[in-house]
Amino acid sequence: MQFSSLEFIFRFLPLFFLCYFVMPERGRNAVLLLGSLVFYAVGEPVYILLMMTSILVNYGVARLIARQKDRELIRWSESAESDEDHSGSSKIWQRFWLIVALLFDLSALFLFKYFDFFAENMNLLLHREVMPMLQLTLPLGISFYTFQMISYVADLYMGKIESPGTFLEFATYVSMFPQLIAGPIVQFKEVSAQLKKRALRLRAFEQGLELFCLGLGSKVLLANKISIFWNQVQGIGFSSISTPVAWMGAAAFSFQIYFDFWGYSLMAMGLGQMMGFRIPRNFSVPYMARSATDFWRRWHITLGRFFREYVYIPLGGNRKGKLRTICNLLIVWALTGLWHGASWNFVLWGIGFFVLLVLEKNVYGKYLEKHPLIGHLYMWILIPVSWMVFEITDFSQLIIYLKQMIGIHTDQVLVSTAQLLRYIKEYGWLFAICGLCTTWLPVRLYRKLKGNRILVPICLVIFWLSVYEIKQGANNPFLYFRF
Amino acid sequence: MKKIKKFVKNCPLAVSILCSWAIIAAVEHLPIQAQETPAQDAVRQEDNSWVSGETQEIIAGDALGGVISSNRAPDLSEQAIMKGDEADDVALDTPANQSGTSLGDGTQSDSGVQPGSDAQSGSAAQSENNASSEADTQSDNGSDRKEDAKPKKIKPEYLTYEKKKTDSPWYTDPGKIPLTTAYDYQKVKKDYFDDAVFIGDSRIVGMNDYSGLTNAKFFAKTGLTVYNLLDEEFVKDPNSGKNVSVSYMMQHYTYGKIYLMVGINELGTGGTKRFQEAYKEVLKKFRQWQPDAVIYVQSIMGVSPKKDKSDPVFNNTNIRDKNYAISKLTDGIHIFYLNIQELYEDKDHNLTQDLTFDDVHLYAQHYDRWVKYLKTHAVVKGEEK
Repeated sequence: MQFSSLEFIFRFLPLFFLCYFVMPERGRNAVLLLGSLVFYAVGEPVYILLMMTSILVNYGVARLIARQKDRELIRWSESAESDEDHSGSSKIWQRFWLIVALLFDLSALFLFKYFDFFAENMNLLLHREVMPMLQLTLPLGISFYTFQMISYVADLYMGKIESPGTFLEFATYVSMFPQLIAGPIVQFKEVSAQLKKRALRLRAFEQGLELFCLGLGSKVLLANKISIFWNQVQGIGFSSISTPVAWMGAAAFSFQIYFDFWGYSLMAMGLGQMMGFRIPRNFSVPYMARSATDFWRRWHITLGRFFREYVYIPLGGNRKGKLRTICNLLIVWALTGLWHGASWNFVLWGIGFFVLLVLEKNVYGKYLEKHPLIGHLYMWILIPVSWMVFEITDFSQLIIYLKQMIGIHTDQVLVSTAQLLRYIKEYGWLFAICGLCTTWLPVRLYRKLKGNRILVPICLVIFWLSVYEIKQGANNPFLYFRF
Repeated sequence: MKKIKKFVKNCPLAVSILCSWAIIAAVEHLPIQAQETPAQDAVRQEDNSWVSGETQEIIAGDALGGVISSNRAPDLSEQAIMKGDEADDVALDTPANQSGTSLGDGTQSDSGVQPGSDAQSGSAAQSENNASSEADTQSDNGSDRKEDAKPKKIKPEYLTYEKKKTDSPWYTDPGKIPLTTAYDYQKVKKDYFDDAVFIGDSRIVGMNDYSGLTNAKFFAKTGLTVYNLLDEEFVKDPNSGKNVSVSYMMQHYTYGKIYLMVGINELGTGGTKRFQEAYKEVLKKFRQWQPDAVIYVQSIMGVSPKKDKSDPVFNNTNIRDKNYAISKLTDGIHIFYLNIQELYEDKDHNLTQDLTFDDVHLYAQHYDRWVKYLKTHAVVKGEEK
């Protein structure tokens, strides 16, 4: 079930919130858990078992780690008296259980997400069929909930979480439907207090609803609309487009992916807030970044945080010399790329950012900081290019596209000035609105208007416009796809 | 009560959404109807339109002067009404309908239409008869009778293959692929298309955009169907600058060649029978308005194997059924069938996967091939030779 479906908005949500609010506070976690399982089961009736198993295993391991921690504490107080050190075995056990959890989580992720990619490359490498392709479908949200569970077990191991909480709390935390399918990657410690007790405030509910409407608008009115243009460019075929059309296409996709993901994150935040949770922000005006480093502080913030806290820093971060730092960065960015999908272009995309980050750190980062305009220009060229590397999975096609962007045309250009003018006429306003919405403007405007009654009609209009668009799209599958 | 008051005071957005929802739901049943996911909805919707389409046909068939709501219905209803009443003004239709009704009782339709209600079977048989007697119809009327008497009809030949079973009640696997009408085609240059008009759906839009045939006219629109082809006002009249219909253009300008390609959007609206009837109607009108034009019926281009396998409606069996139906409307005298499909098909007669991004449309660069084909498959009338 997508947030931007009528089924979710008009069936699931009202019913869910009715149950949620009627329930006394003690029972609300149970309602949320049950609601989330229903939400997930609608889209994944089979793989819900996988998620439930993961929850059970991770919670079990977490309890075992917690028990060792307790033992360690007791022994520590005992050993203070008897001068003996028993904490060693306890530490080993904790580590053992951590590894068990990591192995379980990562192998599930590997099996469902990366196995075919791995098998394909092994077969290619060895020139014969050593591994069969499993052709498993990717369980919904597995990349997100796996990371949440890893962060939970790791935090417990590292002592960042004091207690593992009750099973209900943990299961609710993992499966909570606002963030289940596409993040943000919430950490347990951010919500553990709210899982125990959260007050229901009508003002917060109202503001959450506002955020949800704005997110819905971002997804339906901006992302879905501009995706039509990118689809059109793909339909034409990359070898026939002129350089400006190539850039327009890349810009369209950049807008599409941002408003889609940002919209989703806003809806998640909004829904969380409606229930009394504070779900962390995932985006902070990324396209106004002045360097790639800055960009990644603003784009998918919770993912960057995950890799920093659970990969980069445990690997030694930047404390073990320059070479090790670069090595660590390379690992982090290759993994970040791979996390987005099991294909080499994602790895290339991640490593591209690694190169940029290293260069910025050591060569021209300071210069970009001092010259904001150049920084912006640099990013506005880089962002569309990087998204093309991200989006086009076929390498030969990718090279054709990048060549078209530079202006090297190998085939005859069939789509040039005449069509460009038509596209500008047809999509110009949409590009302009999207451009405006990627700036600080909407964020500042929202902050200024927060609590103001004028937001009510604005959100109402956005909401119904979005619903109208969804309805059009659902009833007329050919609105976007007519022949 | 106090709680509700507090809620209203603190949550104006929630309240206004709920209120407006209630109002809209009451007025339009808007969110209540739409509960399926888009994909399911698509099929459901098509089902509905089929159902409604069928009922419309029945209405059109038996309710004389019944109210028809659909935009394409007038043609049908006109016919149906004329069946009972005396037909008057449309010169072309009169003999066709008369022969249709008289033969309708006796002629067995070959495409397996079961006689259900009287009205339905009557109109089906009538259309079948009309389809096969297209050329006769033409020769029956007025101006070009003398010319028509001489040339022999050339029906397309067919490539046969083993029929597959289909689940759909709306189409069957014809087991035949019509081939381009066998004819002594000429090779022509670009100027052949100076007085040509291309009419069709998004595939023709693509041709307009990417083929480089700048001298031809294009009456093309994404989503165009044979049902709205004549009456929808989407063509810009070069004289007035206003948007007019294809009918208008056909009645006010003269064209030497008419290239048609429609049919993919209709795959989900109405069965093959109805489609054929509507297509025939369009051809008849074109013949009436442009008696000297060569009409090319271009095959509906197939879809890619990926889509063919996954789509219960937009698949190549359905398309072949439609192609078979429209190929029967051609006569090799005025109306020629061009199997465009053969330019792009793989060994299983699907649209080759590599030629398309969205499984339906060609990449821009491949329209070239199509133009070349048209240039080598040109009918050149006597005086032009």
